[in-house]
Amino acid sequence: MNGGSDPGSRPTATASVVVVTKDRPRELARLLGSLARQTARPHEVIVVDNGSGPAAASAAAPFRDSLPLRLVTETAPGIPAARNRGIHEARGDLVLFIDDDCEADPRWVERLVRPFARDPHIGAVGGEILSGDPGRGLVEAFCADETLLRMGRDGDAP
Amino acid sequence: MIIDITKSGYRKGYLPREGVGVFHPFFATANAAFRRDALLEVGGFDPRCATGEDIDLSIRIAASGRELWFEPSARVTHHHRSTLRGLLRQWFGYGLGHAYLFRKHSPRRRLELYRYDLSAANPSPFGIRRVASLPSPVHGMVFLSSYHGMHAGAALAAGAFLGGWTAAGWLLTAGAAACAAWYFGIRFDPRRPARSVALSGIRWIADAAYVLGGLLGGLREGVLYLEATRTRRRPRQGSGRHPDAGPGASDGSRRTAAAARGPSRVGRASGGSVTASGGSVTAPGRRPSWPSPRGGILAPLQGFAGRNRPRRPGV
Repeated sequence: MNGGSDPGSRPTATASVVVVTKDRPRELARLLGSLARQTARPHEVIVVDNGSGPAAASAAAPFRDSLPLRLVTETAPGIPAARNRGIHEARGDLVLFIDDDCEADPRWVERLVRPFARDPHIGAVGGEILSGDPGRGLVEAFCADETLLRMGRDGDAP
Repeated sequence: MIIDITKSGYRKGYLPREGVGVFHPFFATANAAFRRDALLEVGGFDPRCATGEDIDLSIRIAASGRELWFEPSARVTHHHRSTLRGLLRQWFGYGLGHAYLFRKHSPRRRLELYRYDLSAANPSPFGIRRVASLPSPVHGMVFLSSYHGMHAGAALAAGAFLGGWTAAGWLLTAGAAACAAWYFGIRFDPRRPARSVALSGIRWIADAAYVLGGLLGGLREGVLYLEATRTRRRPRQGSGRHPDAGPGASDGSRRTAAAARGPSRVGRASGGSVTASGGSVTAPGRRPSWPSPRGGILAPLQGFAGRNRPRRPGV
């Protein structure tokens, strides 16, 4: 290994983004919008609908042109089952998970995929999860303070 | 388990592949990528996990001999939409799910005691130390925390007074008061006293839901499982935002670089190194060594409110 300065000759791994959703059409549209603005285009975006009916399909419809979108339905309830469905539908070398109530930074795919090319022993890469504007409510403020799943250390810049 | 339903304390780079006892590095599926062949090899997610399926998966990926890499520059913004009822259900669910993970990933017949230790000398990303791992007819985990301390202390004090042990009663009362002062006081913001009190109240009942979920989940799994959240200082600026979060990140930038950044981690155990700032990785060696207590059970924790697991309208 000679460092990350010369990644050009390596074959690029393909990335399948898997999103599990249920009854959150507005949030899903916001997420898909952020995926359409990625600096690195994913191989495919698989939306696994876990029981929202037609709402998920109509939320995703406007992105059919801007994203390599696939919508599948998993009738077995529960997140693990829905995510497993996404894994089995995925054709990319890498499977990227993001939640439907999240928004991806424009370089999200690019940054999450990059470490895999550097070290074949890496099996999983995780990123930072930031809190959106908590709004006015106390419970929301509490969630932003206490339950944000920030993965990095306090104060570390990414 | 875990604990801290919050910040994990990872640094950019390889994460330790073993945990401290039941607390294991993991990636939340709100923002994580996996090699597809690795997912297929370990069998994907465990459908029995009500929550924490991402924790369970990370443990199994690491156990399969693969590395976990934390890449903080891959950012996702999570939008909270919580009602109190939804919050309590969610935290209760975390407790339930973590109890299952504990039973699944820990060896039998030990009583594990943990506590938080945020000192610089503790290398655990979770800030956790194992206090003891004792042979015991009861298999379980107890987290020593101010939250449990104030309740246990108050209950024991009441018993002591009722039993006529006045001196012991006062001693226990003092202990309970000290725990309560720590639990509630460390997060107090003198600039916004009313808000601080309200947030402490929410925290207190959310912790109750979490602990109760763990106890009941443990009962279901046949283990003693008493978890706790970490008593942490109030996040800077009270927003929980990352200093680089962009507009609105506000005062994060005022902090000095020294305060904002811990010691940079260079020189991994086996020779690889990660630069402090740029993230170029040279010669990834096999893996970092992390002085973890022996035994290695694992299984950790966490999740965050607002994640879409207990999917309910309005949560």
